Amino acid sequence: MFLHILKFELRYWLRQPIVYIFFLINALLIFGASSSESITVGQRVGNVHKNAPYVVENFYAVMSLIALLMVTAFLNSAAARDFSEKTSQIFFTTPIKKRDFLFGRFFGAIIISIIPFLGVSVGNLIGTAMPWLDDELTGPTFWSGHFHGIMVFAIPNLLFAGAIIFSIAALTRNTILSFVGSIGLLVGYIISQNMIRDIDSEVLGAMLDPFGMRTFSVATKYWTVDDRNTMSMGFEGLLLMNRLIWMSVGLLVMVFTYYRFSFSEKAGSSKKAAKVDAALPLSSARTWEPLLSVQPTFSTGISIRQLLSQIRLETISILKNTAFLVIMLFGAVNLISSMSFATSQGYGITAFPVTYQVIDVIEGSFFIFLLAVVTFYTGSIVWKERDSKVNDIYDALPYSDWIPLMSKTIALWLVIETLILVGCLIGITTQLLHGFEDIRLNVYFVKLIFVNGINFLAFISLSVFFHIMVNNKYLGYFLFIAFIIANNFVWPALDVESNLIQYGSSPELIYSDMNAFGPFLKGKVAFEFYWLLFSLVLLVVGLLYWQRGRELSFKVRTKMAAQRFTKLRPVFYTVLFGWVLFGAFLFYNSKVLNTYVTSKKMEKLQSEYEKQYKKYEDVPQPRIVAIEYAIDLFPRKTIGCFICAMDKE
Amino acid sequence: MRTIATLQEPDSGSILLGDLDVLKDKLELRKILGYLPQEFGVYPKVSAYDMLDHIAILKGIDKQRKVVVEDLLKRVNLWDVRKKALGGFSGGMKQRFGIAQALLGDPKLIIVDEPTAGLDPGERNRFYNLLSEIGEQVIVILSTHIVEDVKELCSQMAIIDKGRVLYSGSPENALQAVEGKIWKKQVPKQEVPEFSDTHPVISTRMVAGKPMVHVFSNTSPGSGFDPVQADLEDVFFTHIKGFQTSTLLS
Repeated sequence: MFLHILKFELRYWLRQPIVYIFFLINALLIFGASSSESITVGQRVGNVHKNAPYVVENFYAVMSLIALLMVTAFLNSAAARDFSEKTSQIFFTTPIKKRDFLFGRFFGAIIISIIPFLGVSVGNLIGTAMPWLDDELTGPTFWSGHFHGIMVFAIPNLLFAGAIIFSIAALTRNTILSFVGSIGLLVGYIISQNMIRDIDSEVLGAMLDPFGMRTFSVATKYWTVDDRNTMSMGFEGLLLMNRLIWMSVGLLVMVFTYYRFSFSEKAGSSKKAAKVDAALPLSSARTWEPLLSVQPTFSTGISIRQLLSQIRLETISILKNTAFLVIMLFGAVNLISSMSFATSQGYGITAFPVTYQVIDVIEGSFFIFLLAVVTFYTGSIVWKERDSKVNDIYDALPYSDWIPLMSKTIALWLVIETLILVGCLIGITTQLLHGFEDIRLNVYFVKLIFVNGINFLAFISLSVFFHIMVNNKYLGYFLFIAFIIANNFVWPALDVESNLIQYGSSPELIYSDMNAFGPFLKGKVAFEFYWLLFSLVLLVVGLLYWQRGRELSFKVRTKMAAQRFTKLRPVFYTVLFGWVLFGAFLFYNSKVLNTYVTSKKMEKLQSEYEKQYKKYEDVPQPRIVAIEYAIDLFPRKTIGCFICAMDKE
Repeated sequence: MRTIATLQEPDSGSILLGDLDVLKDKLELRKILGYLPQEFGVYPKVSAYDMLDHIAILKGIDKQRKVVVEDLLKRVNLWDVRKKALGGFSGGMKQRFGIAQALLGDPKLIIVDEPTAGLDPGERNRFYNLLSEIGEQVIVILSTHIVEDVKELCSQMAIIDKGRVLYSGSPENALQAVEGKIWKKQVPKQEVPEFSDTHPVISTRMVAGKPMVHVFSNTSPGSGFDPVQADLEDVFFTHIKGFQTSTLLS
């Protein structure tokens, strides 16, 4: 019977798309971290190979924290599904044993929970095989890292945390409480680890980490780069002890659950479950009277009211969504754990958490989650009416065609801006916790909320555009993700690095305490504006093809688009010419007035330089024996003089 | 119905409402339309009031919105649950919500597709009373599988089978056309298949546990057959089975 329940659980989950979605999310995250420098998961890899066994095992350790909220969904449902789906009365009156039921469900869900973890291996294997990575950044594949990652981190951590989550769900029969429990587990973990940091005994600290991350870093502290490139850690030494301790804790929790769990309904719980319809008697005796007479108006004013009301509805629908909250929690956890890098320069050097450093951390560890929100929720929001089957009612309502498109785009953008604000707050809190008080709110605003905010709007528009044009939710997701990856890596490979071509790209905005934004802000904003104009072009084309009604074929939609175009012609040409003109202006500035050298070209120039001047290598050179400086600084001007006197020996 | 409600393009043909070319100027039709689709969902996490209020804005109702929304919620008896999320509504409550949104904003053209599914008999009567009352001033297009409703409610009807219009005209004319041509006979269960092969059977229904066969025939089909006072169901089956096509207007 145990095996039967276990198999049933496995079959149940293998049909659920969420398992594969989580797998994909993890794979993408690790893919990003393995194939680019701008995405970090856990600590920075440094000069170790990106596919070193040490790195892979470490990914598994970090991901057991991030995947905790994912597996909560599985364990929670395995334990409490019968209560939420109301099958408990059918199921629990069959002659199954408590032991078979509990452990069958538990181990079934645990086995399924390993699937999302495998995204780590897949993401790393694919990510490090990408052609744009330098050969020196990767080494041969060591399967031991993958194997140990799963055996030493994924499974034991699942058994420990999973037992706690499963126990909460099975004993309280409440689906929300176990989510709260897993969040509590995460927060408690982060706080306790900060406290343990101060413990003198390294070994004790290593034992007190239930997820084994500290243990791993203590045990591998003296590993050289070469060790890290070739070795991973199995069940040995400190790690073995730690794993045994915390798996036993998990086991104890399961034993406790076994004794406390009961098939019988809790008294009084059925009363609460009564739905609203029971509370409502059939229609009152009232007979129908003539309807109130109203006079609908269709002015610009009402269009704006319609837009605002629709934005409000869309924004709330995203913010109330459980999946959204889960993604954001991942993001916040990753951001908070990365915040320690704002004060660390590596090699034991600490620095002040100045605002531009903190902003770098936010961009590095939080923005990937914002991009995930953009990816996931543009699809969800564009398909919202059709997914909830209210489209027939909606599409026949007398609003103009632009209202849904604009409201959805703006709503998503507002959500992203809100999240950026949350990132800023986490950053400011970190600064204050370190006792650092020189907080530059204007830098937060300009860099994150303003410049990055516009940039996200361009990507939201692009994703909305894809979803409208392909008119298939999953194809839309796929295309957008594929585009993002291609956009990041294909242009450099083709030796095209123009910010006018790589979607959403713009020059770097460097802030320094002395120079502030210096001359960079103007160019940055100009390019963001260029992409904003282009995304408007995309939105107008999207508006032409916006589906209203049940017509699916591209041909019919094109016909309708042509119909709409007669009205939208001036708007379309305005944004198109605006974009082209502004692009020409930027082209003139960046390519004609200034020289533009791609990195490959630069490399070529360097090698030619070397070839040309190599012959002078052994010619005696002047050597500096003393320097006498006369330095005048003009912070408002970018003019510097460097006068230097040299003596020839 | 979807095509009239601006949701689908026709393969060919045109739709005119007065001077309004529906296929060209969809927005103008939507401004006067109240539409209740056969199947529809709701946003599970939005409350009935918020949703109806939002739809009212989309229907161009601004100043009188509060009064109208509250009035409609009371009429469809969702007032007590107006703050509850739509996701918790039963089928009947959802249907009532659908009716409320269709009636919002004084529509001049009301299209209701199977509107009474999930309503209890009392509510169905009240809703039909309302529809026939509204129908005195505005156009109501109703589809239903409950054939007798048509006689009570409609001045014009059409029978559509697999996309083809088999009859269109008034219910009275339709009844007159088959009057005296419908006959019934009680037949033992095992003989029904054979009987159907030899007679123009339009329908078989159970009466007190025994099959009662209705037959279409201009003259009495033989002994044991009694004439029937034809109802619209007989009209319906006569057309569906293809025994009568003469009244088709095109």
